[in-house]
Amino acid sequence: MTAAATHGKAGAPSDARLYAVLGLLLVVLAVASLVIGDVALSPAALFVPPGSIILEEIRLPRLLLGILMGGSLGLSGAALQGLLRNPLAEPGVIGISASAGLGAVIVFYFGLASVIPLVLPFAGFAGGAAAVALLYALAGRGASSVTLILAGIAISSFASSLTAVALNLAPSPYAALEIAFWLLGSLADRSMADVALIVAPVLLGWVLLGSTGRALDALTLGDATAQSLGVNLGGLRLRIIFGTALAVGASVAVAGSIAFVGLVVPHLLRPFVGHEPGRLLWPSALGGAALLLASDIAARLIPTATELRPGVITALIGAPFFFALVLAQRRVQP
Amino acid sequence: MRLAAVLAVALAVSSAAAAPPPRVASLHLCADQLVLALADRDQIASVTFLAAEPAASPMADAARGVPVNHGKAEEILALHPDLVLAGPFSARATVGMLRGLRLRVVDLPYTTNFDAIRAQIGEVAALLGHSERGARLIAEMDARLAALAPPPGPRPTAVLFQPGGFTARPGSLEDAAIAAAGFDNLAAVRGLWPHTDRAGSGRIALETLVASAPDVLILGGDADHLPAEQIRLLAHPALRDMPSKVIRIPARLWNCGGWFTADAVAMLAAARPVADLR
Repeated sequence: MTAAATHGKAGAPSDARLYAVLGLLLVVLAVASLVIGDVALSPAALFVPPGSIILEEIRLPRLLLGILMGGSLGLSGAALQGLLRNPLAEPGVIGISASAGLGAVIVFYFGLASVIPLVLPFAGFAGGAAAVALLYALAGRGASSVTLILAGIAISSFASSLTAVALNLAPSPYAALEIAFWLLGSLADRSMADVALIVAPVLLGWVLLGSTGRALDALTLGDATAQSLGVNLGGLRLRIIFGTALAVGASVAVAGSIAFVGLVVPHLLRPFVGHEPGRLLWPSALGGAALLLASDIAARLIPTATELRPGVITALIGAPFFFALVLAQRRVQP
Repeated sequence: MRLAAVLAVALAVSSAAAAPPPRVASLHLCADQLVLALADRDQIASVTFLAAEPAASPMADAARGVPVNHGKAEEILALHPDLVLAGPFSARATVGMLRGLRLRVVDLPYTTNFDAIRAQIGEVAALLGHSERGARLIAEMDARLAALAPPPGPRPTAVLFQPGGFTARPGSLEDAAIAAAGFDNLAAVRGLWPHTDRAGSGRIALETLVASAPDVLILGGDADHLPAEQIRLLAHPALRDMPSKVIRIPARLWNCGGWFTADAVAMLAAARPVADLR
């Protein structure tokens, strides 16, 4: 919240109202996600077994993972859009999710994850970091939307095809079906062990990303002006690269890839913070967490043959949003 | 080439003339079990490579040294078997090709109850020319099942939980084994399917499982042969906290229906007396 304090000078009251609204929304959704599930339980039944087991071991980890992952996606989306000064930047679109997924698939299906659990978030982080580094090498800074998206597609497809290779070589015949579902993203039936596994890398990533607000604001004036204001551009890029890789990489490693949250949320919130990228960071984290929780609750409520994945719902919301964004871009740059 | 073709025809003719016992090749793990239990060793042209894997195959010991195939038509053709046994997941293209090449291919369906198991043992034993061995195997299985039959009175409850969240659908082999061991299969009796599961995938939600509080929680599946993600579900802390007695049934005992499924019934029945006290 320090970022909000330092960057809220111009619109402090409206920022406070924005935080209050988002915070309230998040609390309501958090309570809802503890109450709603496959088994209908009265509030009293939630505190005696077997209801208490369901609450503590099944619904609580699901809620915490939703907040950690949604917050990571929203925050890194806002930071990447600010850094690349490009509204299309997002961990999924630019290939970080697919690459983190590849890292996780490799350790999952060759048995490393069951031997050393800590390998899993690290593999997600390594995959995510490799994607950001590659993107940077391919597209460079201040790249046009086209270059950025092309580089992102290249990285995504490369990671997806390597995932397919890993599947081909996986020792288990069940792996193909399993990974197809896993890649859709799900928070279902995770445990507190999963939360414990990723909480440190995710929070470290949040600290790195959250510390970039002032520099991102300066960056809107151009690289040269930002540097004259004392912004270390190289350091800024490193913080965002590692922050995104840590937070999103670790999340993807336990919950699969969940698309578009990082794209949609900063765009929805940008008008409320006067288009200042620094002030957008923490509201995007809150908004990302809220959107992912809402999608996860919808996934539990919508009656379908098998439970819908929250990743499917965010993609269904996000893809039309992406179309609209492309059209808007076309009007700006005919 | 011509010589090979002539030889092949000659071989086929000679083996047909020498009629019983037919040389048999199996394309499916479930058929492997029957072949290994019922056929003479020199009758067996080939079984699948899975037949020798102890985790998947109850007859793994008997499969040692028997030639293996990987379910490919070429491998089978080269063996010139008189009879090919295929199963429900054998590639249809392979089976079609073998039939097109005038091999006798018999499809064996999955057996989902003990009557079907008896019928299949009898059918394959007759095909292999060893009906008396089949009758003996069936009699042994029936004697075991009779010895394991539950006492009259209230039945303890059980729920099966397998990798991926699958449980025992009504009418499944697992359901039949659970019932034979004297349990009420709660998933089938109470219909513990998610309200979303109209397709009948046979999955049970983790929350529903915990809330059902059965006397016995049956965990299925073998850690060695599944991806870590599915195993993780079986290791979920919520299961550990359930008050139910937990037993593990190796997947090989009921992946295929056979006389060895009685071993699963025996393991389940062994968990019964404690459950009766509850």
